Amino acid sequence: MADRGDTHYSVPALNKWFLFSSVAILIATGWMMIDDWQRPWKAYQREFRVLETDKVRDKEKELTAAGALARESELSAQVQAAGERVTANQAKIAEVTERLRLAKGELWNAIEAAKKAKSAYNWDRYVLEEERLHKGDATWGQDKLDASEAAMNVAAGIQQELEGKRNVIELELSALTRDLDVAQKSFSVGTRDLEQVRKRLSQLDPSAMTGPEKLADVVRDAPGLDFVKPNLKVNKVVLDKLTFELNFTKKKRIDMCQTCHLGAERSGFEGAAQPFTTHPRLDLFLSSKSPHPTSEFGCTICHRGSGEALDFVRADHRPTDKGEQAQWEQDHHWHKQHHWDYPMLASEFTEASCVQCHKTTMDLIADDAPVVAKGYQLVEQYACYSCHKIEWFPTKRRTGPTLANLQGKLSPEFITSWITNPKDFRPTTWMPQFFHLENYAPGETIVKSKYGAGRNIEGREWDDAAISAVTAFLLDRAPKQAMPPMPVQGDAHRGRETMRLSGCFACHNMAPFGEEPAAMDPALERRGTNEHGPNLRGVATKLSPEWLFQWIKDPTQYWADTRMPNLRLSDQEAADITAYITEDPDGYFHDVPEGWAPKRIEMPEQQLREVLGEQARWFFARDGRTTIEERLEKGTWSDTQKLLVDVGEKLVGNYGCFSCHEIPGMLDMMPIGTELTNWGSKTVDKLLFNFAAQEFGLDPNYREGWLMQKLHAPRSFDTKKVLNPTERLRMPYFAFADEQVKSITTFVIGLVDDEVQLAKMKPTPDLAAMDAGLRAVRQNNCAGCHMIDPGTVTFTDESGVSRTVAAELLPLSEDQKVPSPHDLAALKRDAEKNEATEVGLRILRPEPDVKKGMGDKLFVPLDKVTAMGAPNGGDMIRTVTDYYFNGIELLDPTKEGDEAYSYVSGGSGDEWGVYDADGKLRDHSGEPYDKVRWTFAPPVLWNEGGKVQRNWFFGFLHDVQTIRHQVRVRMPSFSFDAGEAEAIADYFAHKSNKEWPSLYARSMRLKEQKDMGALAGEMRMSPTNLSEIEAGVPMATRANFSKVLAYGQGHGFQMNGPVNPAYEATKLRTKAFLDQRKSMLSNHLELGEAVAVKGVNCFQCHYRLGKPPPADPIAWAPDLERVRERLREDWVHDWIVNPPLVYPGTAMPVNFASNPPSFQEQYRGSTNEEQIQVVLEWLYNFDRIYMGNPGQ
Amino acid sequence: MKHITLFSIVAGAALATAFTLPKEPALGTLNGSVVLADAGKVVFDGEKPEVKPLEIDKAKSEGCGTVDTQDQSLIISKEGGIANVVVTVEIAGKEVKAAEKPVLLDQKTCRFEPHIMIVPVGTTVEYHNSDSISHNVHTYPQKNEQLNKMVPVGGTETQKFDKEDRVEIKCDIHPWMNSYLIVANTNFYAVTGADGTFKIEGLPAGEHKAKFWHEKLGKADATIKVDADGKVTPVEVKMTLEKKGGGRKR
Repeated sequence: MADRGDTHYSVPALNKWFLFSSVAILIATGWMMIDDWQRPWKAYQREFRVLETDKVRDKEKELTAAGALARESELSAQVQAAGERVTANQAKIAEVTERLRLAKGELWNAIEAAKKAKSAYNWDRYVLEEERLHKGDATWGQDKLDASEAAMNVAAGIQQELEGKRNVIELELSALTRDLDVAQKSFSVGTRDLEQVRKRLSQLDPSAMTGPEKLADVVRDAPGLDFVKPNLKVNKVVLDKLTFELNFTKKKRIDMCQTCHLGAERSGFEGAAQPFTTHPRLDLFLSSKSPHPTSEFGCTICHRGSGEALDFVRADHRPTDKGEQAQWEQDHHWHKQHHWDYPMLASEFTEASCVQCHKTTMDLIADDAPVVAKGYQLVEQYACYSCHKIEWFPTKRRTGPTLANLQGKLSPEFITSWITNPKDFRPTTWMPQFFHLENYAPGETIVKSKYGAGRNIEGREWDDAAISAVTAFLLDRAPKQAMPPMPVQGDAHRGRETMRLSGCFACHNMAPFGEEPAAMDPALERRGTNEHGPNLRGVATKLSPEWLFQWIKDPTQYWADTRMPNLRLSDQEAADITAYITEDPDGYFHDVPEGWAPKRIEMPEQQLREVLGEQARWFFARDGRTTIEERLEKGTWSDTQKLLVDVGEKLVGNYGCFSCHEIPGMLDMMPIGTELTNWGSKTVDKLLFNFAAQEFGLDPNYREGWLMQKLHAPRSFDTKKVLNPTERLRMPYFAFADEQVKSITTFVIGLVDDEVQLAKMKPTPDLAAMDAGLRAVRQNNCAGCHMIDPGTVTFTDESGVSRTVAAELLPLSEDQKVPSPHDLAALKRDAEKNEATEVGLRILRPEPDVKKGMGDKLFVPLDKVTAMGAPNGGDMIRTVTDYYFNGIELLDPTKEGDEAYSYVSGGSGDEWGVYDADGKLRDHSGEPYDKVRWTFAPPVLWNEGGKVQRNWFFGFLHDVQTIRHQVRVRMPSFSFDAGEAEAIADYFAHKSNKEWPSLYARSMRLKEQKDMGALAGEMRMSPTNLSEIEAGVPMATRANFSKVLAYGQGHGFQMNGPVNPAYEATKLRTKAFLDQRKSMLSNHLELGEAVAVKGVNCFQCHYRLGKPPPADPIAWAPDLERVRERLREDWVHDWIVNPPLVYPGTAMPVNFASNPPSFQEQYRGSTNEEQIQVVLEWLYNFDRIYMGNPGQ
Repeated sequence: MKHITLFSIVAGAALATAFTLPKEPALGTLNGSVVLADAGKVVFDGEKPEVKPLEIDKAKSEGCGTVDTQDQSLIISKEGGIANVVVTVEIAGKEVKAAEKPVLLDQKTCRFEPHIMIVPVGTTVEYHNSDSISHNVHTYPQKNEQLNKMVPVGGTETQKFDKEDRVEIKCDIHPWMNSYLIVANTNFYAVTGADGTFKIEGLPAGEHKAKFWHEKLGKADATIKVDADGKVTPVEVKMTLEKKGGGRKR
C-alpha cells in the first residue's frame, strides 16, 4: 500500500520493520525450540536409553539362554492342543451349555418362588403377632402359620435342589474346558519375564517397534511437540515437608536430580558411569521399601546442592579432589555457585546429613553411618559439648574428674606438670593441652607490659606464670583434707590376683608408653573396651595409698559423677589392691614416660610478679588502672600467693576448665565455646578465615577445611595477627588423629537447623529405647566383661563361595590356648608354629549354609580363612581363663631368653592355683577350657532380653546381687543416671525381639536342610530376600518375614518367641493355671519337686535358698529361688530341654532326654516333656513351696 | 614360653633285661602277620613326687558309697613304674577296625572306670551309671562333637567317635571325676599297667614309631623294633613335667 501521506509514520518502512521483527521472532522461536530440544539433560536421557536397551537386551539373551523361548513355544503348544481338544468337544460343550442355561432358568424361577414363600410367611407371622397382641390370645392362628412355614420350607428345598443341579452342570462344563484354562494360566505365568522384557523393548528399542510405534516414538520428542507426552522429561519429586531457607522464607524442596541420575534408584547399574550409577545403599535409600524412599526424601536433603537445577554446574556439584575439579572445569566449565548457600557435600562427608534427623538414634545408625557415628562418640568422649553447647546432645556430664578435693589426691608438682602438658605423663589421655601452643610461642612477644611502658613479655614466661597461677588457684579451692588411715594391712601378692579377677582390666589397661596400640601382655592388650578408663601405668607415682584405697572402695565418694563403678570390695580386698599398686612387685605402676618428672615451675620472684602483674592488668582491666596498680604495689596482691590465686581464677574462667571439671564456686558459669547446635547452617562467609586460607591452603567457599584445620591446630587461626592477650584463641590442642578429625568434622557440619527432623523423624518407642540403651551399654562399658554378640569367621568353602559364620575359635592343638579372635595374622602365625593346617570353629548361631547348628564344630583349612570379626565384648573371658590356666607372665628385664619369664598365680612358693570363692586355693589349670570359661568368666549376654525378665533386670542393675557365687569377677554396682538402667533393660528386650525373625529363618532352614534358592522358591520369594531376612536386614524382614513364618508353620516348625518386650507374666504362677493343673494332676508341684530334687538332684550343684551346694565351687550353679522373678519361662523351658543349644559348653547337662524316660520312680508313666513341665511349675512356685508365700 | 624341667623320667634305662620275650607268641596272629608284643616298664630316676590323695568330704560324695581317693592323674609304683601312660603305634596302610560292640565306660563309686581308655576310630562308647546317685557325662573332645547328658541311676548313654581325638570326660556334679578317652587311628595301642609295663598285640615286624602320652607328664616318642622272628628291642622314653604357667598344661 502506498503512503497516503495522512499518517505520521511511513507505512512501507513500518512494513519492513514488521517483516524484520517477524523473521527475528520466528528465528528466535526456532532457536528456542532447538535449544530446549538439546538441553544437556536430554542428552543424558538419550544416552541412558541406549544403556537401558542394552541391559534389557542382555536380560533377553539371558532368558533365551536359559531356555525361555523353548519354554514359551512349549507352553503355547500346550495352549493350542488344549484349545483343539475343546474345539473337538464343541458339540458336547454346546449341549452342556444349553442344559446349564435351562437349569439356570429353572433355578431362577425356584429362587423367586422361595422368596415369595418367605415373604408370605413373614407377612403371616406379622399378622399373627398383631392379632395375638390385640386378642390377648397367645395361641391364635398357629395352624395357619405352620402351613405357611411348611410352604416356605418346601420352596427353599426346591431351590437348594436346583442349585445342586446347576453346580453339577457347571462342574461338567468346566471339566470340559479346564485344560484350556490351566494351559492359558501356566502360559502367562511361565512367560511373564519374557513378556516384560518384550514390553520394555517395545518402549525402548526402535528396532523392536512396529511402524506406528516408531513414528510415535520420534514424534513424541520432536521439537515443538514434546509438550504432549514426551519420552524425555524432567523427573521431579516435590517434598512439601522438607523445606529449606531461601532469603528468609521457607521453601519446599523440589528435587530434579533423577532427571539425569536415571539409574540411581534401580539396581543393575552399579558399574555404569555417572550420572547413571546405582545408589550404593538401595536398602537404606531411594527404593520404595527402604526407610528413606525418594518420594518422601528426595536427594538434596542428604547430599545438599541445588535440587531444581537441571544443569551440571548449577546443581552445585562438588568435586572430591583437585584432580576431579580440574577435570570438571575443563569438561563442564565447573565453578562454585557463589549465591547458593547449600553446596553439595563432598561424598566423604555425606554421612553428616544423618545427624539432622537421627539425633535421637545416633547409636543405632552406627553400623550404617560409621564415620558420623564415630564423630558423635568422639564429641561425647572428648566432651566437646561441655564448651560448645549442642542443645540436643544426650550426654551432659562433666567428663573430667572433680577438682573439689584435689589436694587429697595429687601433689602441687604433679598438678603443675600435668597442666603443662597432660600427654607428657599419660600419652593416651583425653585431656588437651592448653599452654605453650603456637599463639603463645616461646620467643613471641605477647605484650609490652605496663600499658606499653614496660618490657616485652614473651610467650614462655607468660604461660609458665599462667600455669603456676592456675595450680595455685585450684589448690586454693580444694583445701587439704586428711585422708583416713587404711583400716587393714594389704598384701600385694593377693592384690595381684584380686585385681585380675575382680574386673579392673575390663576397663583399664597397663600398656607400656608408646606401645599402647599393641601391648605385649595379652590380658592387658589395648582394645576398645579396656581403654574405657585410663591406662594404669605409673599411677603409683601420682596417688597416695590412702587416697587409692578410698577411691577403690567407693569412687563416688570422691567424684559423684565418675563412670567408675563400685566393685563392692571388702576392706581387705581394697587394701590388697592398694598394696599391689603401691608396692608394685611387677613394675607396672612406677613406670613413667621418659623425661617425666613432676616439678614446680622455677621462676625468679621478681619475674613471676612482673608477668602475673601484667596478666592482672589485662584480666582485671575493668577494675581500673589505679585500683590494679594500688593492689599490686601495696594491696592484696603484694602477697604473691594471693596474686597467683586471683590471676589463676581469671585464667580458669578464661580457658573454661570448669566446663569439664567440677570446680567449687564455678559450677554455674557459662561455657566459653561457640554454640554448635546449628553450626552447619551458619553460612560459610561468617567463618573467620583470616590468613589461614593462604597459610594452610583452605578453600574459603567450604566449611569442612576450616573445621579440620581448627581441630588439627586450634590456635593456628591467630597466625600473623596482632592480638592482645584477651583476644587470642583459647581452644586447646587435642592431638586428634586424621580420621578422628574427619569424623568430628562430619558430625559437626551435620549440626543444622532441625525443622526437617521435626517434620520427619519421630522414632518409635522401641527405637528410642534401643538407642538410649545402646548408649548406656556403651557408656558403662558392659562389653568390657560381657560378650553381647559372638564374633564371626569368614572363609571360602570347597566350592569357592565365601561364607561368614558366627563362631568362636577352638584351640589349634590340645595344648594350645584359645586363639585371640582379634588377630587373624597372629592366628596364622600360631598355626604355623603348631603345624596346624586347619582351625576348629564352634558355631554360635544356626548356620544353614554350612548345615551346622548352635554348638556344632566346623573345621576349616587355615588358608581358606579370610577374615575374622571380633565378638562384641567379652575380653574379660580371656583375661580370666588366661589367669586360671597360666597365671600371670612376668618379665624380668635383667635376664635374657626363657630365663626372663616367670609365672605367678594366687598360690605362694611352689603352690599353684587360684583362690576359689570359698577361700580355698585350688589348681584349675588342668580343667578343660570350656569348664573354666563357663564357670568362672562373666556370663555372655546373647539373647539376654529373651532370657531375663525386664523388671528383674532393671532392679538388678540398680541393686546388684550375686547370682553366680563361684565367679570372682564382680558385677559392679553402677551409679546410673536417671533412666539408664531402664534403657539397658529395654535395649536387651528389644534386641532379642528384633533378632528373632532372623533366628527363626535360620533355624527353620537348618531343620529343612534346604539351600537358600530352593527354599526361597518354595516360599515364592527371591533368595536375596530370604538371605536378607537371615542376615536380619529390617527392610526385607518387614516385607517378607510373614512368608517365612507361614512356610514354617505349614511344615510343622515351631520355635519359642518372639519376646514381647513389654510382657513377661509367667502363666505357671497364675491361680487359674494351677487350679486347672490340679484338676488334671493333683500333686503336680510335689511331682516337680520329686523329679527335680530326688531324680535330677538339682541341689547337688544349684544354690538352695542362699546356701551353697555340697560340691566345690567349680560345680556351683545359680540359686534356683531366683528363677521365678529373674527368667522368662519359655527361655527356661528351652534351657532345660537342651542347655548346650543355648550356651555351647555349659556344665548344665541335658537332663531329660533318655529313651525310655528316666525318673519313673518319681513320676510314674511320665514322658520327658511332662517331667520338664512339672519341674518348671516347681521352679516358678518355689516361694510357695519353700518360703511359705501365699498363692495369688 | 618357658618350660622348666622339674624332673624327668627316664624310661627303660636298665630295662633291656626286663624285655625277655615269651618263647611262644602269646597272642596269635592278626591279619596273618606274625605277632608279637611287648614293651617295657617306666621307672623313676630320683625322688618320687608326692601325690596327695583327693580331698573328698562326705557331703560332696553323698550317695557315692566309698570313694577311692587315690589321685589317678599320677600313679607311680614302688619300683618307679608309671601307670596310665597311653601308647599308640600307627602303621600306615593298615585298615583301622572299630570295635564291634559298644565299649563300656562306667561311673562307679563316683569314679570313672577305667580312668584311661583307648578305642579305635569309629567305636561307640557306652556310658553307664552303676551308682545310686545321678551323674552327668560331659565330654570335652577336640574334634568330635561335645556331649553333656545326665546319666540317671542305672542308666546308659552312648556316643560314637568318628574322628581321632583325645577326649577328657568329666562329671560336672562331682568335680574330681574325670577320665580320658583316646580315640586312636590304629588298632595297636596299650595303657601301661600299675607297674608301668605295657603290651601291644599283633605288631608286625619292622620299625614302628610309638607315641606315649600321660595326662600329667605330657608326650614322648620312641621307636619299637620288631624282628622277623618277633623279637623286640626295648624302648627308652623321657618325659618331662612342665612348670605351671606359660601354655596350658594337661
